[in-house]
Amino acid sequence: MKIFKSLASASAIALVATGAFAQDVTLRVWDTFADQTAGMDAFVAAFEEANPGIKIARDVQSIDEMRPVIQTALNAGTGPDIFYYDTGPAFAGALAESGLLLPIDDMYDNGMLDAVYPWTRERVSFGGATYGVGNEVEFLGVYYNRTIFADLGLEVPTTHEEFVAVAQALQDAGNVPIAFGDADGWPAFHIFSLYANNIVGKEGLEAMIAGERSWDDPKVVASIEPFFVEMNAAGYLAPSVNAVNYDDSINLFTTGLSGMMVTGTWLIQSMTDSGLDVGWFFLPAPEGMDTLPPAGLGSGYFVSAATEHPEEAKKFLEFMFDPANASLWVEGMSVVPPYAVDTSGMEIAPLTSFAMDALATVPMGYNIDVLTPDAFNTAMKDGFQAVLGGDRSSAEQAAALAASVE
Amino acid sequence: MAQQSRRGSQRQKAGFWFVLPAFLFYVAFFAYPFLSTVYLSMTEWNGIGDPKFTGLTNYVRLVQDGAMWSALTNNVIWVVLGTAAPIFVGLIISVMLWTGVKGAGVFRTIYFLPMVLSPVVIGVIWNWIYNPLFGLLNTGLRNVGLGKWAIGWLGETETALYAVLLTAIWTYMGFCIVVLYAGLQKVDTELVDAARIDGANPWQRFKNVIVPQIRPVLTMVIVYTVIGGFNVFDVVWVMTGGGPNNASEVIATYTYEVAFQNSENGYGATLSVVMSFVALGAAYLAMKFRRAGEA
Amino acid sequence: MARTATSQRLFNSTGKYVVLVLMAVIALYPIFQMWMTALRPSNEILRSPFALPSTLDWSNLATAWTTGRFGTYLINSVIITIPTVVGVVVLSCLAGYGISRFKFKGRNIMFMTILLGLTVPFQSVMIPLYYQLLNMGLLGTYWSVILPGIAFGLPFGVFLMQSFFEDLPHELAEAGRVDGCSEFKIFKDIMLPLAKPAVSTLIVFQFMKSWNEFLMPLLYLQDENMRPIPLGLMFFQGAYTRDIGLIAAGVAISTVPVIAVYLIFQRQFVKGLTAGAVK
Repeated sequence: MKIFKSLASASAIALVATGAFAQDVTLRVWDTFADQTAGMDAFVAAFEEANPGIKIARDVQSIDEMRPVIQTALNAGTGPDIFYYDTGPAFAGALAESGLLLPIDDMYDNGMLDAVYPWTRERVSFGGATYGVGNEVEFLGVYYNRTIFADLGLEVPTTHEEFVAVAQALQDAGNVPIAFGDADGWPAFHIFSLYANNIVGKEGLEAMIAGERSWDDPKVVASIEPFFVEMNAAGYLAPSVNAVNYDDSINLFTTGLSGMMVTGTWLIQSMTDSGLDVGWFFLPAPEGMDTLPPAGLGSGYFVSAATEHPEEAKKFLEFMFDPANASLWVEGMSVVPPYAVDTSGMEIAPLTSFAMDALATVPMGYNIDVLTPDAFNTAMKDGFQAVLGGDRSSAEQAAALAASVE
Repeated sequence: MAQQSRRGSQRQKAGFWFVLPAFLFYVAFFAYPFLSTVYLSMTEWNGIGDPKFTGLTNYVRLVQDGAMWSALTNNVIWVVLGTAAPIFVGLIISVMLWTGVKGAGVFRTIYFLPMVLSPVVIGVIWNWIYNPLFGLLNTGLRNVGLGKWAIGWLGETETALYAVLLTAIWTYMGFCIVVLYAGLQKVDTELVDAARIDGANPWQRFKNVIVPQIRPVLTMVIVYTVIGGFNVFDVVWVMTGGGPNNASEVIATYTYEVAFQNSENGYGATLSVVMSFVALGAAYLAMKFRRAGEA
Repeated sequence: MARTATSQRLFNSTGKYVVLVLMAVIALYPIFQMWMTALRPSNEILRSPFALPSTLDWSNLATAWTTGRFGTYLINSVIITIPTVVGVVVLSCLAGYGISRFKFKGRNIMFMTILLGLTVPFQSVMIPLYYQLLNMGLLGTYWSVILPGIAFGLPFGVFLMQSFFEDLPHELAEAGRVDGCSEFKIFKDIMLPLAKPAVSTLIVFQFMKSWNEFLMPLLYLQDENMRPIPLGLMFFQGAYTRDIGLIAAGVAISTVPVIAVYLIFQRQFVKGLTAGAVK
């Protein structure tokens, strides 16, 4: 075993050697901004310039593997000082429950995060304490290709019935009406959220998410049927819908083969970069019901309870969520931060400014999957693929969703 | 005499020192953590905090877990088809090579090549081949007038498992050919000729004279495909993630989801411990088949 | 001579070549297609995915190399792979020789314990191993991937070398013993040089395995600057999800070293592959 000891001490010496001469505090930061890494690096550079003596060592982690990686690292007492993670109960909630996160209520109380929307604080609070700052405020809806709509003389639909008519018109013109594929499983979550907010309504959903009302409900069935069964049967979605992954569906839309794509505001940057003339509308509710677009947080920044530099970590969070630095999020990364942004003087894409205005003015509902437990999300993932594949009815799926949380 | 045998046993002891370094390494970084996994398999643990000992509860759950059984069924399909098909094709190809062709070495080198690619790379390439929108397979089918066969191979519950399996076979087919071909090199051709003179037809010569002589390499291929079939993870994970609706779920992907996506580390450990022994048992049976053949 | 006589009657000769060539095309075409995709301008690909490039466009490869930081990943992969391969080969040769040529107490137990590892996938020990590496102070260093990498290579390596040494004639070693050589000297100077084919096989297999390792570095290295190629490729894919030409270029780059190693060793490699199974 001697060899291990000597190897271990060799690496310990190496660690000491790199640390001994450094006067600076180094914060380790993990995030999942793989495709916006330049924007994030700009943030880090701005922070380091404003805070001499604090260095940021930033590592991008895999979104798919973030959960085992961060859980194991924190539980073992290693890992980063600050990290970007899902705010759901099974994610950050589970870490908070085990005491692995640093409570940062003092930041909210001391006015370091005054600008942040109060509702986002709720999403990162567990068991009476607040552990992070929610970020990437997102909502769901429909991108459409303005050029195709104009060529076919189509109007933006205001009811579900009109939405179906638009899809039919696109199909008649040889277009794939809706660029939707569910090979990944999770795109279906968003479709379900959209219809459930419109059809079940906000109070009903709140009760279902809280476990006070069963998901096995005629209104839930009615939220599954229109898209997953009827529009799928009519051929409005991508062919072989369970085999088309999310990236393929984006390609369908950005190559002009498809006239509409139902997804979230995180694609604004890609849509803007595509060079197409892209518009947006909220997925309309059926005639006589209110349209309620689901909104939620992408993820949030959290501080490890084991950090040796809590004050510096808080400084970094304060910097990131200081409205004075909003342009780094908005212009640099097309990310909508969790506070009202003054966009005057900013060079931003029309879709981005629309999204920020909408957040301040349009009443919004719940993006379901970030609020529900793992078992429910697994039942959504497998079950909606089954419905799309014709192996399960809407009523059976509603019952399966209910059973998963019993 | 006595002195010599003592020197002999002294000499035998030297073997211990040859094996010790590898053994220590193996125990430190493999066997010891595996024992922890065996312990974890008897706990409830979400990956955070301390595991809670629950005895054999997880093992009882495993037996009653329908999702586990359907994944295991897929593994069995994988083992059977993933063994039979490459051996069938591999035997034909390797016998062809063996009967003397120009450039046999080049063919052999080419056949093995897919085996060196990483699962991530294989997944990327084959996802393009199966892609329902622009994939090679469907484009090809449409071009030869079989457009109605152009489906989303990885997205249909009936075809997903087989589409992934085909990719896996593409990857290790060359391995089977190379091993079988090497085995054929040792076949005694005089016996084959004698059988021919006795009036045996080509199939009889193959079945009764050649196959018994290559039984050891056949066993080796079978042990390889059986262990590989029970442990398969990467190629399924990168191509379908076990979907759609679990149609291509195998034990290893199911275990990964349970342990690392649903944070049931204890039950995940139970699944992996049981599967290791299932694969070991199956490999043992395949080896026995070899011994039975030799006897 | 006898062999060709046998052969002619087993298969019709032209048909034989057709089948063999068809098989080669099946094996090679997907890899060829990947290279062609890498060498085409991205905007051509979605419209007509399988056409040959109108002109060879090397810009995807160049862009992937620089923006994907494949240079760094390549160095990391080499830092991890070479010591792992050397470790597995050295330890497997020693152990394989010891098990095949000596009868000592505990031999079977040691051998069987090592063989158990053939059926245990990495995922089943990845979390316990994490804590162990942490306790040893190795987590986050290259050693955290190299040392377990060696341990995971041993079951196959020991099995292969053991089979190979068992098949070698015993007389040579006896001659050495008569000359008064030490057991280690006999191993190193007489037996080991004969094991070249099996060593080549082991090198190729272990190189493939280490080069393509994904979960282990993801979990244990943590530092972006230490990541090897498969992780680099994954993040590259994440960053350029829709640019098929660029992804193909990244994929193509990542396959060059492992294909090169295979081609260098392939002659010897085949001989060693069937050690033990061919008698």
